[in-house]
Formats: sequence, structure tokens, C-alpha cells
Amino acid sequence: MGDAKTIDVGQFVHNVAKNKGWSLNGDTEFLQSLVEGLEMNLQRLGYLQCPCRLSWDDREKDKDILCPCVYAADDIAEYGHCFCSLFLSPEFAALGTEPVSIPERRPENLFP
Amino acid sequence: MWGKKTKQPQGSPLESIPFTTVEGHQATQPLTVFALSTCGFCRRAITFLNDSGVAYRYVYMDKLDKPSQDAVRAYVKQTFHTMLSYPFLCIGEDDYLTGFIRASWEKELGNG
Repeated sequence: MGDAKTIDVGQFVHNVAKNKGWSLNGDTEFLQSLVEGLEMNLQRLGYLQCPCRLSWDDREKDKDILCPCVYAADDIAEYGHCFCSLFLSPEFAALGTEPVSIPERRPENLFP
Repeated sequence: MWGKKTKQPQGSPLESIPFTTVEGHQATQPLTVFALSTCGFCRRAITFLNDSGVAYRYVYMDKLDKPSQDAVRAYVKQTFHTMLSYPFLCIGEDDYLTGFIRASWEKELGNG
């Protein structure tokens, strides 16, 4: 694995979506804010932690919320998008409806 | 940047938290937002409140040190008996909204 700090985050989320068969959020401003959030986390933590959850500042404790988080696939299947609404199912994306916050699937005992 | 830094009243469990206060018309109950600077829904929530012209205060949890994060978490747990996920809107000390669901925020703030 290369130096984490040299990752192009915009390219990274594009690749994840492509590999998983997901769509990226079609609101470019919203998408950009999440990419910037991931960049910020990469800068301060050294890893691509979910921008919508508070960090432990400990990669081991944050490992389930490294983007794409382990909850993303289930959330996309159930709600049409991940917790952040970075990744959408192609079906949800085609509807063009504004994503809203969804319930937190991460167990409470894993939070800081 | 919106708002200005204000000091909280002495004796409040949140007195050490460096909230940013945004001026506006007073809601029925004082409004406080706990947010993450990296999160898209948090950004939407703050934009929504700014557009609505209501007075509120907010803080980015990811910008706080650990003791301050712990103080906020304890306050939310004690006051609302729930865990913190973002954005979290305190409506006085009796009610709250968690996550940004535009229709719920409009309903709660009476401009929907």
C-alpha cells in the first residue's frame, strides 16, 4: 500500500463506486463536501475515515468506519444510500429524490 | 463564516464548549446543533438553519478536544437519553432531532 496521504480522494470514491456497482451522489456540491471531509480525515488521521462519524483517533477502533464502511452495503440495500449518502444504489440515484439521514447501523458500543 | 464565538453561562455542563452563535429570530426553544465539519448532512442542516433566519448556536465536535467531546456526549446522554449522531439538534432540553431530514426540520421549526 502506498503512502495514504498521496491518495486522490475524488478518484478513490469514484473507483469504489465503480467496483461495487454503486453510484456517487449526483449533487456535485454535496459530493464535493464529502470528498473534502474525507481529505480532512486523511490529513488529520492518516486514514480515510467516514466523514459523518466522530473518530476515535485510533485506526483499530475506527476500522469498521473506514470508507467504504462495513455498514454501507446493508444501508444501500435497505435505504438506497450509505450513512453519508456518498454512495447510492443505481436505482435510488435514478429516482432523483433528495437523500435524507438514515438510522445509524453501527452498534452504540463501537462509538467513542 | 457565520456567527461569532460566545461564552456560555456559568454552571452549564456545556460552559467550556466554544459554540458559534448565529443571530436571528428566536425560536420557541433555544436551538443548539452538534455537528461534524466533514459531514454533508451537517452542512445541509446548518445551511437550512441559516436560510431560515432562526437564532441558534453550533459546534463542530471534530474540532473539540477529547474532554470537551466527552462533556457534550455526557450532556446529550443525560438530557436526551440517546447517543450522538450528526447533525444533532437540541430543541431546548426536552426535544431533539437527529440526522438531517428536511421535512422534519421544517415541521419542527414551523416553516414547513
